[in-house]
Amino acid sequence: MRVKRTFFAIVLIAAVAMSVWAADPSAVWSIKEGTNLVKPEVYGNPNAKNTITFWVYRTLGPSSNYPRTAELLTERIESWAKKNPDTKVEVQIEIPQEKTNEYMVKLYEAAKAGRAPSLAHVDSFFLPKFLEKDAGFKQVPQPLDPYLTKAELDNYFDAYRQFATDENGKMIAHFGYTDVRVLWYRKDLMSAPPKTWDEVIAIVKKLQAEKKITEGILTQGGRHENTFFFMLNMFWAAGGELVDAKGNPVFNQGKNREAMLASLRLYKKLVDQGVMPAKVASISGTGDLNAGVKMTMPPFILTGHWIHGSLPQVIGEENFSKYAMAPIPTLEKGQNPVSGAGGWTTVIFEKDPELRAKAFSFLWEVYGDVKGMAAVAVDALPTFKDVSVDWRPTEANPYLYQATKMLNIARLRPAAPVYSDISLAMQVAIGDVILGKKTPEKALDDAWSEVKALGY
Amino acid sequence: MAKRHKSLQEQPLLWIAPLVLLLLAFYLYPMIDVARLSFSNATLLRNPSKYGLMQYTSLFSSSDFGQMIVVTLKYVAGSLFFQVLFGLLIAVLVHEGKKRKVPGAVLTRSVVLSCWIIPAPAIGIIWKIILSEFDYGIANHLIGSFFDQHLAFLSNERLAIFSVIVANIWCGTAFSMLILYSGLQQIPESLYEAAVVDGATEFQKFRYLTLPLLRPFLFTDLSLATIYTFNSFGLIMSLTAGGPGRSTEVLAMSVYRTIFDRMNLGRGAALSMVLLVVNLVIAIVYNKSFFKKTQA
Repeated sequence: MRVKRTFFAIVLIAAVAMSVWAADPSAVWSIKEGTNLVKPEVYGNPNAKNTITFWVYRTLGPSSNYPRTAELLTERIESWAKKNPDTKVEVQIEIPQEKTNEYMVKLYEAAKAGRAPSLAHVDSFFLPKFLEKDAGFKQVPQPLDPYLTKAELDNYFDAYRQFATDENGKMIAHFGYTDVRVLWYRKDLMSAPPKTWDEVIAIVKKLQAEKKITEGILTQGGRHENTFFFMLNMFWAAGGELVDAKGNPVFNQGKNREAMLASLRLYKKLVDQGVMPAKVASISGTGDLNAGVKMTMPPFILTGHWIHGSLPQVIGEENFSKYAMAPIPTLEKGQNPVSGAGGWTTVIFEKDPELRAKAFSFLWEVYGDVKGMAAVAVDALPTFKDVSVDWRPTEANPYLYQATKMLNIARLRPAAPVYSDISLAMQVAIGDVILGKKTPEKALDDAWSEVKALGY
Repeated sequence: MAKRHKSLQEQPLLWIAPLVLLLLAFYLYPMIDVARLSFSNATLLRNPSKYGLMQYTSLFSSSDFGQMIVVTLKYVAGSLFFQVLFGLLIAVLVHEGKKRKVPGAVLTRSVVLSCWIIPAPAIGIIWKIILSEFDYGIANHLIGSFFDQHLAFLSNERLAIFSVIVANIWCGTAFSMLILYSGLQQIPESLYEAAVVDGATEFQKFRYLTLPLLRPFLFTDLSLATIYTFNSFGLIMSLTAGGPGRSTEVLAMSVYRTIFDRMNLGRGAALSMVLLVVNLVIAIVYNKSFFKKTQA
């Protein structure tokens, strides 16, 4: 009898204790002093009841190789964690830059299997694939609209908002930062940047005749997405379109074919006339390009705005100060220049409404607002109009201010799944034209056949 | 008479069963699944909706496929021939040097081996610095100093394949040396002493003693190096990324690009099957020729 009474007493005390515990969440989900809130594998209170999962792109996380980004993001995650002691973020995958493709494929597979994380960083280049209807995704990007005010939605530059909007008009990704493709020119060798490629050729020929330079222009011509993306600027400016409204490839039809051929012919002309060396076909990345620039200090570099971060370290601040950026010249006079833009997005896949709200709170408080954008976009550009007005995340960097002006002519790659296939086929075509292995016509036709053979 | 229960040791099937199950689950099943996908139109985004020979017919009718096979064969044959040749040469030199207590013989072995330790992508970067067509390229700097000329090692399609082969020989030689060096150490010294008594020259000792006795090691070296060379592309990825154009795109790299860049599972699987068949054929040919000669 005594044993029974003792047992009931223990049960009663336990029940009372538990009800008190449950009634005051703050008492339960408080964070012990001194807890490390930003560990590589978990952000926030490690004992929290709610768990949201995250696949983080290392460059955009607290382990970023940009010290400023790492420091600011750590602060922001800590701040979010203190406000949300009942939720922790479990970092399932942290992907290094060179593994982007594998990471994206893994994410597609996870979404198809219904095991996608609550939120993930997604390269904008791959985002359109999540909109493919036949893919049978069990998890798809969740709309951010319910959590954003109209003013916040309107604050995105139109191109970015449209790109991240699905067919139902819902915004499915937060464009965290962006970049633009530009022409860097030697301001010590010319008074104003050229507006057309004929002007570029004339300037280079004159400088070569004066023996001031050897090489006229350097760019990426190897097997790399940028090789095609740089050329795409001229193609777009000439009125070309890669895909139709349904996302089917049309880059070899009608005026699009003419624009693409004109772009390929330009590269052939640049090589044939000694303005661009054929060795650009061996330049696949920014590192190769920077090394090439160091050797000859060419008057023109067709690349992205981002080299302001790495090129000074290679050629020295003094030499780099000779360069300035300008819009990419057009094929013909009277065409409007275009600057191709890219960047990374953050996407929420969480199905559970409560956890989805938590995931959004994390997304917005860490990456979303002005300071979030400033934290991740050290060398990059914002996608918010109000932030871009005077964009100088670091005082010593005037180039970002100039690059931000290019956002007005920025254009994103088409949000069509076929884009990556077009790019891969055209990278080979461009290489073949640069090396004189194929005529522009043959190279384009082969690229077209390759894309069509994939069933588009 | 009561039936005697067999002990566990007398039941080999029971011992082998776990391993067989593991092999079936983790090797055979994925292989069969790849074979199945190769007959489908599956992509990473779309499940198969059609089965047939379309991937193979499209592959074999594509001009790029023929070029890729030629590039792969050049890469493998060029790499293997020189890798084994240099590996053998270094192994013999180090072995002889060690026997004769030549200073630095062991150090030479360690230095050669260090090339093998470096990861393939890093080797690609090292060779990129050596072969770059820009002025910092060491090879072009030397060529320029003597002949006032530059060679397009990485942007000329003929030279690019030569460049990736050289880089692969550089790292693969160490592997061949390691295998063949261990083979040399297995050859009894008494055989060489007997040959000396018979008046054999150094060449005769090498031709009639060393080479025949090294045969199993050469077989192992060739088999492993062939399979490795056929299946690896990390070095090419960092050195030329398959370019210029497609002039250095080997089969294994195409499998990677087709699946991870194009997300085309069906075609990637078909390419994998081609790679598997090529590997199998070569393994069988090696096996037959070596065993035939050994038995003869």
